[in-house]
Amino acid sequence: MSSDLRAAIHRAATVTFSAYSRKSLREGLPKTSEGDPVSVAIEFTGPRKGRVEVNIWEDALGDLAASMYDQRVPPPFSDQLDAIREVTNVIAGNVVSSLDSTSLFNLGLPKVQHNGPIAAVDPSAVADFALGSGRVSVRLFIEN
Amino acid sequence: MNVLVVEDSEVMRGMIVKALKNGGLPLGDVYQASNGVEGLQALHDHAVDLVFMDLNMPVMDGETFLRSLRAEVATAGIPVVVVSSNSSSARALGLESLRATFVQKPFTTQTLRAAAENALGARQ
Repeated sequence: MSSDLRAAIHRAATVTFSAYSRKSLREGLPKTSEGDPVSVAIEFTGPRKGRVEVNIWEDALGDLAASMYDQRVPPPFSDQLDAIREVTNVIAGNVVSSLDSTSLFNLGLPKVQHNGPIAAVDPSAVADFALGSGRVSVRLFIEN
Repeated sequence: MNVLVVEDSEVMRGMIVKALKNGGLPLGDVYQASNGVEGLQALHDHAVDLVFMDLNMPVMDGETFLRSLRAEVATAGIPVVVVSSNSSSARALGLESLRATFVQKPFTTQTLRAAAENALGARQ
């Protein structure tokens, strides 16, 4: 795993979650959350081609969406999905900008992966966080 | 000052509007559109003084919307702030020649206000 890639995804995720969540962001993946995450991915093309995938467990998703909608309680699940799609879009934009600051990258639209995260391929870099009482895993896949 | 926000994410439209209100800009009517087609229709239907727009949108993307806006006599002079996470796309678009100001997501109230003032000032 390249340290440059890890730094890129770590920085993008930290900046984005710190801006959008009222909950504290801590490095590392706690084992308090169970069940399958909500998984959203966005593909990018340009001098490098790949995918950014954000996996978020439900406690963290509800809290994040409530913060983004400026509400005390989590909004309906459809609005939670809108929130995490936008977060994925922002992380991906910041990641590709730091991969190569002089070239053009095109981003696809963020898509919910209804079958969960893609496990068949090892990610090129991972950034895991505890977000409040929940957790988030951001994964970067670069195609060779 | 009437504002149009063209952004496919509902939550991000809300965050932009909230930041504008918190930033102390003298807001009048705020119109919202979820893609470029709706954005052009809103410009046709309403008097708009300032546009905030995303680049990465379905149906009609931000580049097409911005070029269409600049090509129409009635809307060519409207100040535009591009709010996007993808700075490479914004750079490739040549925002300066399209007379648009860029704000990187995630933004703060201060950066959004400064960009709005920059865009409005550039018109004068």
